[in-house]
Amino acid sequence: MSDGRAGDRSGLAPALVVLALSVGYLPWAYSYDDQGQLVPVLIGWLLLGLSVLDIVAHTDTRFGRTLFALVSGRAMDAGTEEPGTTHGFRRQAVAVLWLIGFLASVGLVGFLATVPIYVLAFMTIQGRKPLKQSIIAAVAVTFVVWVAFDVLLRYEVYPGILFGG
Amino acid sequence: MFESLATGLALLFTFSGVLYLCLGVVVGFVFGAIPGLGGVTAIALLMPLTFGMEPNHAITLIGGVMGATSFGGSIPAILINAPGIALNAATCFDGYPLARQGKAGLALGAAATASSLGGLIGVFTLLLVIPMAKQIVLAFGPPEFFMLAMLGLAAIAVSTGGAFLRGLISAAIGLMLAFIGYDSVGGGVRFAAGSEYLWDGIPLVPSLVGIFAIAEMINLTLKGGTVASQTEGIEVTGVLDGVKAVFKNWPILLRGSAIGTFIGALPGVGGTVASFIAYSAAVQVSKDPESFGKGNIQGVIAPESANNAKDGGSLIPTLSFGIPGSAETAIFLGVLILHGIEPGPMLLLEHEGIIYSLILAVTGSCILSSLIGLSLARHLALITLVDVHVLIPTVVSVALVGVYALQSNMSDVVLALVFGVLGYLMVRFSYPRITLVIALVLGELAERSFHQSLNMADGEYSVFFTRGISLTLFVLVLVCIALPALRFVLGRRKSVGAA
Repeated sequence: MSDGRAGDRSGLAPALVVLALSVGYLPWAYSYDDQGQLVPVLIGWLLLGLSVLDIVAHTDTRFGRTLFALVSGRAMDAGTEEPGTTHGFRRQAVAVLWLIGFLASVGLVGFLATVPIYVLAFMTIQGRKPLKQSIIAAVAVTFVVWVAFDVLLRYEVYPGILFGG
Repeated sequence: MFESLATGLALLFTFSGVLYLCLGVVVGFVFGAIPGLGGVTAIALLMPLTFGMEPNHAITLIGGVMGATSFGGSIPAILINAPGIALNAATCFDGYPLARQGKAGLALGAAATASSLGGLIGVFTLLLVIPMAKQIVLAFGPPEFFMLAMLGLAAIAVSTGGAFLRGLISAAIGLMLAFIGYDSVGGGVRFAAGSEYLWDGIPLVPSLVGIFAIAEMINLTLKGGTVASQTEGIEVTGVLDGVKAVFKNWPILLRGSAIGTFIGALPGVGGTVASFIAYSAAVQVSKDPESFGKGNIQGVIAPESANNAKDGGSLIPTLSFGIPGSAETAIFLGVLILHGIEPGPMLLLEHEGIIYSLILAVTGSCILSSLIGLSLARHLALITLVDVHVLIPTVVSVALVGVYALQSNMSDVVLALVFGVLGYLMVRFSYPRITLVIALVLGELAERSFHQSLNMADGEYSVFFTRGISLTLFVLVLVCIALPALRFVLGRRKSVGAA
C-alpha cells in the first residue's frame, strides 16, 4: 500500500510524474498574456515547489524523513478516504480495460446494445457468475436503462457509429 | 427569514416535491446502505438525471439523498459490522456487538432516532446562522473571497489525515484544471490544447461522476467478493427501546450533534472525523468507559447524531460562501451549476426560496429515512450480500449513460472515464480527491477574485493584508499550513516529556 511514507519508493513515481507535469505546465502558462498567465504561473511554481518537497520527503534520508513528518502529521482519523490497497499491475490494467472496452463498444454499437453485452461479459468473465444469472442481470439492467433514460426521461441514448451515431 | 421559509415550504410541499423527496430518501438510503457507494456516488449518479427537472425538484431530490445516506450506512454497520460509508465506522464499535447480543432492534432504533434528531439540530443551527451569514456575505469583497477560497483549500488539505502535502498538490492540480477553457478575466481560451470541447472548461458533472463513482467501481473490481457472508442469527427487535434510549441519553445526543455541526462546517473535514470525535468524547465523559466497544448504546447514539448533524453544518459554508463543506456538498454545487444557479456568496441573496426548500428537504429526509429504515431494516441488510460483480456493471452503465445524456456528447463519457482512472490513481497513491474537486469548483472564483482585488487596488498586492477580514483569513491560512508542523513539534515534546 502506498501511504505516502518517507522512503516509500512506490510513492516516489507519482511524485516524479507531478514534477514533470509542473515542468511541462509552466512554459505553457507563460505563453499567455500578462493577465491570463498571472495566476496559472503562480500555481505552476507552487506545484513545482510542492512536488520537489514531496520527492524529498520520499527519499530514505534523515532530512527526507524529518520533512515527511513535518508536512504530513496525522489528523485524528484517517480522513474521508481510504488509501488504495496494492494490487498487481495486471489486475489494475484489466479493471481499466473493462471500462475502455465499454467505451469502445458504445462507440461502435451504442449504449443499448453495449449494456447487456457488458453486464453479461463482466459477470461471466470477471465475476465467474453462472450464465443464467448473468443473462437475467443483463436483461434487467438494460431494461432499467432503457425505461429510465429512453422512455421516462426521453434522453437520446447514443446509438453508435454502426447504427447512425 | 420566515418569508423565505414559507417560500421554501411552498416549493417543497407540492405533489411532485414530496415525490422527489421520497425518491431521494430511498436512493440515499440504499446507496448509504451499500458499502462502497455512499451519498457522494448517489449524488454524482443522480446529477445528470436531474438535467430535465425544475431546479427546486432537483434540489429536493439531492436534499433527500443527503439526509438519508448517513442513516442508511448505519444499517450494515450494526447488522453485519460493515459500515455503509466511512462515517458509519464508529457505529460498528458498539452497534455490531449489540446486534450479536440479540439487541439489533435497540441499536437500530437508537441509530434512527439519533440520526434524525442530530440532523434536525444541525439544520436548526444552519437556519440560525444563515440570516447572520447574509450580513457577513455583504461585508466580504474580492480580497476576502480570494482568501476564503485559499482558506477552504488549505483547511481541506490539512484535514486529509496524513496526506497534507499531497492534499496541497491535489489542490494545485485542481486549480490547474479549473483554468482550462475560457478565461473570464482576460477573454481568451487557455490550456484547451486545440480542443473545442474544452473551451468551456472541464465540465463538472462528468468529472465528478468519474472521479468518485467510476473510480470506486475500479476499486471494487479489484477488491471483488461480497461485503458480508451471512445474515443468519441476526434478530431485529426492541426498536422502541432504542428510541427511548436516545431521550434518556440526551446529553450524549446534544454533544454529538454539536460536534457534528461544528466539524461539518469546516470545509473538507467531513462526517468521519465528526463521528469519531463524538464517539471519543462519549467514552471520555462516560462513568463506564470500559463498556464501550462491547455494546454500550451511547456508542451508537454519539456517532450517529454527529454524522447527520454534519449535513446541516456542511451546508453553512456551502450556502453562505459557495465553499463546499464536504464532498457531497461539492457535488451539490455541481447540481446548482447544472440548473443555472451560480454558487457563491450571492446564492443566499438571489435564490433564498430554493435554498430554504433544500434545508427543509434535508430536514424531511432525516425524519423520513429513520422511519423507512426502521420498517425495512431486516430486508435492507440483504442488499449487502449483492455481489460486486453485479453491482459494478450496473453502476457503470447507469453512470455513463447519465453522463452522455447531459449534452449528448461522447466526449463527456470519455472525460468521465479519464477522471475515473485519475480518481483511482489518486486513491492508490494517497492524493486526496476531495481537495482536487474543491479546487476545481473554487478555481474560477479564486482567480476572478484575485484579479478583481488587484484592479481595486491598482495592482497593489497589499490589498489582501490591509483589510481586516482578509488579513484574518490570511492568518488562518498560515495557521492551517503550519498545523502539521505544529503537531509534529508538540508530539515530539510530549514523547520527550513522557520519556
